[in-house]
Amino acid sequence: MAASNRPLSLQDLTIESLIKALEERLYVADRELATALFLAIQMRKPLLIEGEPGCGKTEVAKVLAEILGTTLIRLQCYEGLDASDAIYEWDYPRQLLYIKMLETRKDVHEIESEIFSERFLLKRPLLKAVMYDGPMPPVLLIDEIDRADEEFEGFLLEFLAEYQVTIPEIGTVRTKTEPIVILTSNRTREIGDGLKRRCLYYYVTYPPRDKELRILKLKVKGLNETLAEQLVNVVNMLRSRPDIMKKPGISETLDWANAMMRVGAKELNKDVLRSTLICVIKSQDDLMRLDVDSLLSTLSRMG
Amino acid sequence: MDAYRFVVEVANLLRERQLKVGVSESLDACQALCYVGSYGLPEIKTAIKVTMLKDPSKFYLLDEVFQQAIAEASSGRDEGEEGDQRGEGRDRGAQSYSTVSAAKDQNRDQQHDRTVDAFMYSPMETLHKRSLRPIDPLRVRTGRRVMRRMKRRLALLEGRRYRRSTKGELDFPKTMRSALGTAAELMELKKSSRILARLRVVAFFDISGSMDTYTEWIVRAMYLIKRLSRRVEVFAFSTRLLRITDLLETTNLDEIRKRLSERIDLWGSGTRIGSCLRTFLERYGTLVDRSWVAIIISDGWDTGEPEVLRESLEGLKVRVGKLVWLNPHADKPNFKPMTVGMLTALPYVDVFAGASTLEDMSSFIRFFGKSIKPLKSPIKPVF
Repeated sequence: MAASNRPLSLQDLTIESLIKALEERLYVADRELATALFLAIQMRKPLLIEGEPGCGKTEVAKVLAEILGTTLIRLQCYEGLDASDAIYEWDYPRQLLYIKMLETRKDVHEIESEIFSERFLLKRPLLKAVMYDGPMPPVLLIDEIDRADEEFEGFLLEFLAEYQVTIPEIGTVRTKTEPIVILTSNRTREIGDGLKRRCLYYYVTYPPRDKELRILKLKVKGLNETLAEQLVNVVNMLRSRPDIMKKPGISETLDWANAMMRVGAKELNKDVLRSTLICVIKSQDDLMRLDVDSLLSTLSRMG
Repeated sequence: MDAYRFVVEVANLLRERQLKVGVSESLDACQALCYVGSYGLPEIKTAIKVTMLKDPSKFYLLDEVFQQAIAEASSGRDEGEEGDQRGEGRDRGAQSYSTVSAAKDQNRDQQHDRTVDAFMYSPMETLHKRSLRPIDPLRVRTGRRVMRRMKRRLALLEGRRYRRSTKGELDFPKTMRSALGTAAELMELKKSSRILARLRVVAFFDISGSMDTYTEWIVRAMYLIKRLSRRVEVFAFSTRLLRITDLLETTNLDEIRKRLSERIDLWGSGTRIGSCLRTFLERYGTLVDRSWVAIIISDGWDTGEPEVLRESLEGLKVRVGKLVWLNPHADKPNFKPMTVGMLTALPYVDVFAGASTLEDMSSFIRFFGKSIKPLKSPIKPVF
């Protein structure tokens, strides 16, 4: 299906048009997710998407920005992330160079107001989102918020409520168009109640077998139907095993299907399975625990 | 049907089921209904779900609450006298009430379309709640001292502080300081490494019938372990698993006793350790990684399949950094682990100790003395 280039305007936005637009951009969304996105856009409330890794949480924000024809601003969270990485930082080397150039000038106040101006400001994602000046609101993706510290989560509470940033040397910057905010979390820790309260909440889990097959057919062109079914069956088997530490998500299934296309495999046999299992199993311990023969025999019993 | 009344009904019903639904959620739900009101029931349900239900383990409540709210909001009954009756019913807290149609009443004309609150069978009533004794603050204080030692003993993550080490990283400030004594000539390179000080814990408390005699100790231990570190998750289990971390998030001992008494309905039933751990791995598995320590507090009496227990422990063992099992019977002299559950579990356990280790320093030293070796390559945090 070819993606139409025309972005969806906020006036034309309905749940149906959103589902259609998502599918045109090769994102298979169920009606529930589309409703959640629709509400997040209309209510201009942040949408917190939690769920298993590799289930399309980040992708949905990228596709949404594409659908609305707007900019995606991404903030990748990690342990130790602080305000200077998320909001702004002064460009110290450039400021020093500039001061050096102006050494002969006497007016200190003039120099100060120059070096602490927007010219020397390194805008990080949150400030970029606030200062964004486009016809459509930007999509702000705050990815893997569970990896950030609780202190940063506390800061976000204020940011998401006001959409404003205070820079002591410049003043308070307020947003012109409230961004569409999507937060994702892999649930490596529980997100605080305060943040959850400010967001709409959607939980994604591994898709049912039929939906995963549909995703494979849509995203991996020319994939043999029998092979697609076999791949989905094996992935589902792996997900149901409690001893597998890193369970494969949809992205792993897609990687696996692409690998199958590259090696020209028509069906899943012992050699192909053994050599390509690394696409879905990403831990040595898990690989050691897997018995390829028993996987294949279970697969053949499933037909 | 009045959308606002419907939202209020849903919010109340969710609160009755111990969900944290505030006014802001109700306002969001009202606003969301304005946008999806022209769509069908599934969209309305999704709108309620995304605005009010923010815990995936409680999603199963949605259908039940939704149906009940529709019935209540569309009943159009008199708010006065009956509203008071309903309020009283809710005040009864743990006791469930059901709205039963009074259509069978002889005075059908007078009672037309009216409903009364009456008690009837509910599966909720068969669950085991327990009135717990007050928590002894003196024993808690003793326990805290042991907990500080335990934190240092179990820590798998590096903290901020350094200590001298021959294998550590080059310590520039110390090297420069030592060079001051030799006229700033570098004679020796000083090295230091970070001290293991940070701990993440997931604790599983067996509150089945076989642990009945230890109930008081269990409640104290829940309180103490929750305060072991900033990142602690606490679960209670018997025939099913229940996450109780939020119940312990207060420093008020009496409030904790009240919450554990009123909200845990698993006290004194059977034990299925294996299936409960499997539920944990399936539902909460992503919460933990190799930097976490799992502590299981159980006597090992298990009515489930040993194979399920073995598989679940194998899964848990690979997911966490250390696995500790505290068995209250292990404090007794001449104790030997003989239960099937214990025999199945022991090969996967890094430390097997008695329950008194949490409160008694000498017992702690006896069991934890040298039983835990630090990881060869400690986990480095990013500050």
